[in-house]
Amino acid sequence: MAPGCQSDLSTLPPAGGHDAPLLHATMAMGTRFEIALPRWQASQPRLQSVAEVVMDDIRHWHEVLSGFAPDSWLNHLHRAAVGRAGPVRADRAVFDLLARCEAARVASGGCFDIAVGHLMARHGLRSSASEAIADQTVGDPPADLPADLPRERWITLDPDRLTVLLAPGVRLDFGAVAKGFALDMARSTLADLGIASCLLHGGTSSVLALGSPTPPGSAAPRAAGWAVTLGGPGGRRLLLHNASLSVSAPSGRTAGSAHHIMDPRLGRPADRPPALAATVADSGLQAEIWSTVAIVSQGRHPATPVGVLVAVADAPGDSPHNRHHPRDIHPPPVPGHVLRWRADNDPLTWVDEP
Amino acid sequence: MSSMFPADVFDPKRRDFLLAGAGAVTAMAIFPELSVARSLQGADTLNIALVGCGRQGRAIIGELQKIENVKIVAVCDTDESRANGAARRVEGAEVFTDHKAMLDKRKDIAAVVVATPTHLHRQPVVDCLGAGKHVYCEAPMAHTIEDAKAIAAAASAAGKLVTAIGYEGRSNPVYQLARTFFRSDAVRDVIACSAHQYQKTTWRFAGSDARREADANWRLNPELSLGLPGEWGSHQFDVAHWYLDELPAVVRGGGAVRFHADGRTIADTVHAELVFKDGVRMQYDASLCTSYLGRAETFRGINATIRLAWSHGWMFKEADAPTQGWEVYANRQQFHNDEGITLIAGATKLAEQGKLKEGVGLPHPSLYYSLWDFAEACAKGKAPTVSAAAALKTTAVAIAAAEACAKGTEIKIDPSIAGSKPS
Repeated sequence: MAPGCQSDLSTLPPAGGHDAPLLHATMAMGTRFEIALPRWQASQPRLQSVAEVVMDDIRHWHEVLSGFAPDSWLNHLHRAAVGRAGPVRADRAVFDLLARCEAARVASGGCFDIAVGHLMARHGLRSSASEAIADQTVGDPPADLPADLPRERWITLDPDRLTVLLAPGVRLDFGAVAKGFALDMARSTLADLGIASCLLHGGTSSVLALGSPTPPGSAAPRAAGWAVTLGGPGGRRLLLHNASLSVSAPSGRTAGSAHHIMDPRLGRPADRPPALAATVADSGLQAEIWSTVAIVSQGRHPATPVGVLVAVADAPGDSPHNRHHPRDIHPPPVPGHVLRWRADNDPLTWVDEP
Repeated sequence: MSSMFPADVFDPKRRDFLLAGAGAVTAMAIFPELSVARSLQGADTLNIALVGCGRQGRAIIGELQKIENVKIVAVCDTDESRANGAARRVEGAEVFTDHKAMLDKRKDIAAVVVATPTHLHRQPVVDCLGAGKHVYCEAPMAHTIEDAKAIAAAASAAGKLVTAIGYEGRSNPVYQLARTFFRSDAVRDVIACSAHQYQKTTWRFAGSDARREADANWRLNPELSLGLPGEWGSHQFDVAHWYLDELPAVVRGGGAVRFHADGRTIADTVHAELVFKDGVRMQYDASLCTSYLGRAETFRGINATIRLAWSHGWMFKEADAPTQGWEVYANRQQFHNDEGITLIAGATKLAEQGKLKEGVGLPHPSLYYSLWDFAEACAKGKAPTVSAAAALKTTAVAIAAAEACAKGTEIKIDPSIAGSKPS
């Protein structure tokens, strides 16, 4: 995994200070999730328990969606497909995730597709020990996906029964979206628990920023949002406020010369991908989907939804930019807030303007 | 004697073991069956209700959904928002906030899974059995011996109704497979056993308001909770009872708040020693302050040591232990200076195909197998894997261990329980 961004915690009070945010972390989805919770919101024991509940949620979704864990729901689904066992019941949240992924596949003209697991296997991108183990529990690598089977019939979703049926030979891979989805689920949990301010990231490439580090009404400069820096030190600095950020890069996982971001239209890794694509959106899932699309389409996809802001960097070290709106865009409102990209400022900032 | 044959081929005891080994290999070759989710073939749909929709309830829903002929028709929690949350995850489940109202209205419920906090098991279990429903109750069965006995009595009075208690180890295929080795000459005389569980967590749950938060943190209330020896340890004690086929006579223990000094009085770190007859001892350690080593149980014999880690199992042979026929297929993992033979369902087949690279975990979480056993017992009129009578004994040991750890003392197990078989 390539470094996505760096949360600019240097703008926060120093760690260990009485007003430093509470930090908590867990390992899930092959990376480290970390949450920063400003202390002005609640007592230390409550913030600690909030952090643990959120991380427990994230581990739960890892256990459901992991292609690495033999006992995940995803591999249960794969086994059912191999064994032609019929439709598999899904948690409604997972069913909705699949439905949204299928809708995004259509909206992106096939640049994004959740059903690329078998393509990744074909290109040697499922060769880690844990993946090999998971694949052993699923069965032989699928070779029986008919070439003429229309893509629409690869995944059958039954909304009345909340079931999923995969065509034999099809394997899903949630690697592009699982972290963003988990952040969305965490956001719901945080709202239930009355938490309005936190920075939560998975492996620095998927970020949820709620509120700002300072209490409401603060005049401090960092009241505008959470500062993150794209690509690490020296990269573009963003301010995120009630928004999700996703950073995709082909330089993370590779097998020989093949990188891990598939172009589903070609059935192989995307051609001439940019070095990095960053998206900001209302939801983590949307951000993840469209950062993947930006890599596959080299940042030129015309149908990026309203409220999803995309920037790409062509080469390592380049500053991310938006190909369609090199200077300035003001997307129409999305529910709950307006995101504005101020390309005339340097650094680029996305800020919440209610 | 021809030198072409190892001497032990002609040793009757050795031959017997080879036969046992062949049986074990057969047992190891059950992977294809395990891989595909099981269905209760030939059975009518089993309508199940869930009482208690917290985090364990969420896991239970996920696993029940994998069992083809099982349908979750109702979910119940005194916290309506939690019940609604559970119902949203399942197609067609009706929401209740009172299990008695649920039993009154939904006569089509055949079985109920009770996943309330431990101290709230008794009433729904007794009421559901009284209403003629099969019951699966999470473990530990209760936090007091009175409640545990009441549940066991209700189960006994319920006749042919299934009352299963969620000590998952006994349904876990890895643990079942390892037990076939443990009960053979592969391990031989048991010297000692141990168990530990470490997880870095406060064990404190945030709630959306003060009442919910207080309810959610029952584990930290010594009046309501058996603490680490009960909530975690009893599962591992039950494995030891099952493997050793006996119950301890004495338990000693101690504990302290080593890290989470947030006003709690219940220990975040405990140790205990369970003493079985003939002097075999089980050392138990658990902590909420560190996660290193996670959870495992170890059984040491003079020929080999078996180590179990929920989804995985290994056997570490002594150098002077006899070589066994099936070892040609065995997969091995290195643990520093020791080499463990992985105890894997289906390992033989995978190894023959050259596919076995390292330890293969279970294709489903352990909870799945426990719930599947329950569903099968309900559908086919079989005895539960862990009956209330068996669980009463493990619960009694857990209650004694909790008291020993809380007081730093030694507790003698009720002789009527200590002298009996675990199941």
